[in-house]
Amino acid sequence: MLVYTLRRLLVAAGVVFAVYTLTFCLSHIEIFNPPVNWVEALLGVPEEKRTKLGLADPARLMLGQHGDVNTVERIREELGLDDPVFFNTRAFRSGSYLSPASWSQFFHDQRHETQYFRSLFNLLLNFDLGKANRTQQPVSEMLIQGASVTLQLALAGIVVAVVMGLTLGILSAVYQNTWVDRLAMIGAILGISVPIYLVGLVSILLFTKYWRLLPGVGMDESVLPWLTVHLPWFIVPPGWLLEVRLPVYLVLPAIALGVRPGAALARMMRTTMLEVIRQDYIRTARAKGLDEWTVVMKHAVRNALIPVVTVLGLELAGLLTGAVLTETIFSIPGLGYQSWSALKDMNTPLIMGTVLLVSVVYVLANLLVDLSYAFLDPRIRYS
Amino acid sequence: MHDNGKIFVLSYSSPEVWLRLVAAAVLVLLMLAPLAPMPVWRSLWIDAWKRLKRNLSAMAGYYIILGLCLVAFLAPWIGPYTPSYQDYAAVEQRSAETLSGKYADTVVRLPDFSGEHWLSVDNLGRDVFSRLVHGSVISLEVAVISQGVAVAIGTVLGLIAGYYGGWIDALLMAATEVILAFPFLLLVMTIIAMFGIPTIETIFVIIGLIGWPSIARVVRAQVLSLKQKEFIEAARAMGATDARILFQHLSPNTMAPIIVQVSLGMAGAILSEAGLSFLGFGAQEPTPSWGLMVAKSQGDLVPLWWLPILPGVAIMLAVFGFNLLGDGLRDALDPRMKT
Repeated sequence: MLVYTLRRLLVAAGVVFAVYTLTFCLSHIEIFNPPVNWVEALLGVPEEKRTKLGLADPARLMLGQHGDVNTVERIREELGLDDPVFFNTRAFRSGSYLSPASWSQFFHDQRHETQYFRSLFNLLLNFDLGKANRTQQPVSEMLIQGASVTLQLALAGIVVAVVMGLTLGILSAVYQNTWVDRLAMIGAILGISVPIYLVGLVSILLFTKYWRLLPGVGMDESVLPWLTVHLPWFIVPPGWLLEVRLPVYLVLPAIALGVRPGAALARMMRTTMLEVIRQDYIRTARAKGLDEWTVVMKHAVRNALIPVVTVLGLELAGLLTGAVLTETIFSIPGLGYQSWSALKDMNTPLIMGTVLLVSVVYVLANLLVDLSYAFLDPRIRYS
Repeated sequence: MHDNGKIFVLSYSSPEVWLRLVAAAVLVLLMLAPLAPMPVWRSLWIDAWKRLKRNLSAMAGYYIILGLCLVAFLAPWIGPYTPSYQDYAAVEQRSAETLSGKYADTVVRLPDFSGEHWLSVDNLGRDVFSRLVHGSVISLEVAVISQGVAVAIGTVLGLIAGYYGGWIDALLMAATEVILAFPFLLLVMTIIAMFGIPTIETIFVIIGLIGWPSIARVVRAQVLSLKQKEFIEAARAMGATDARILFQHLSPNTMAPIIVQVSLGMAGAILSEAGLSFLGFGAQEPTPSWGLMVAKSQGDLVPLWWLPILPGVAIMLAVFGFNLLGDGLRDALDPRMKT
């Protein structure tokens, strides 16, 4: 188990590293100064051939189209944008590339005077993700702010998804091939078909604009009360916390975000429940004379819960994708909204930070999901 | 066929018009296909088609998709206006009604559907019905092109990974992991942001380039279960080359899962394109893309609620159709999976 976890962690680190490098390459391709041969592609476009008019040039983005040329130069200098991206060949170009002295010079240059290795070492040694363009706010700070908001939203979305998915899934499995089942399954396919922004806009239209019941935009914790949601008795075991308190401003976004994973969960839950219900121990439980609800809730549902964890793990990427759309509609200042505006403004450090965070979260979540199988089902052993 | 700024002028001497009519006729024939008599012999595909016909929801999906294709091919006949024609008079009349007329103090007003503009006009005076009709072309194009790209890449890589195994399998599966590890929309948006907003055709291809891992996985799983079978062993014993075994013997047997995956992938592709356009990274004005229509009119949710809702419902309907058909195909092609 420990060996398995360590090996998976190693692979996870590799994946995150690959993602980081890929994003770096993508964001440092010189779109407006394209390399013309492979030497230039590896070593960078030589200075005398650069036009310095690139729209994606951070200095240009900060100062605008008509920014002072000298200031652009100074900012490029400060941010180290004129340094080579991957390889610094100064030590070799000086001529003494055979002497070991130039090698240490080479490693020093690679560490401090190339954009890729400088940012990589800054990240690994100082946990420094750089500063956002224009505002110069540290990216890590912005990410923590955004992630805390998105975490609330995602948790609320998961609550909606689990409540909806388990209810529909259990009902349709118990009443298999009746109209309850058909209705629930058509509803579930509709749920995975509906675009998030349609759910969001319809709910804003009805609940915010027409009935004026719930806030539809932004998040203001100070004024708004909490909404207490009582979970149905068959979802939480007796004695557990029976209610979930949602901040009122998160209700509509959580519904918009939770519909899709909820529908996926309902379909998965139905399939697994139908498999479990055919097992011998269910027949035994029925033969003991237990009433049908006890059989379903205590014996069947608990054994059908493994796919719930799987789907939640798989839907995590979907939740983050959904968070971009949800936060854009409801103007919630979370990670999704932040990355959307970062992409619109070509805020490269922020884009890279977001992608890195997202990939770390996703890889770790997958690892946790795999490990939780072994926890939920002791027959599964990783060696 | 050309547009004179207001409507499409159809010249029946041009081949495009006739191609569209022939395609529409084929679609009508496909709509009648469930009524056709079935052959007496049996095969995988005939049995699957029989099972599919019995599946009510799958047939609903089948007809939704065929209807959508019909609308797309007959768009110049059905949508009365060109998608970019602006009727200023209609906008002025609406704003007069909204600001000082009979809707002056209502939050949610009744839609001003009329005989001239069946589903009214948007805030720039463009006919919503025509834009919805011509938007179906974009949605179907993204479905077909992106899945074509995804199948071309995914099948080959899946076959190779499953057949050869070893490090090449590990490498390809790691690649699929990395691609799937990204939130889809964020990855596409990152690529698009880096290279600038591309043309709509490029977006179709990008969605396909990122959609191949799911197909590669399905193909690989199928190949892994097939390559130990006797017929592959026999082919190898007869001296067949790897390429021949892969493309002559293995790839036909991966068709069924690919078809299912493509149908579901088309639903995903339509949703992705609409989402990208909604966020401003996909189709640009004046392309009549459904996602873009939602984005551009969501500010008018009150009081013109139907402007963003109608294209949203159109997206949902198209995706719903592909999902229904995909589910039905899975049940029909792999009855063991059916619960």
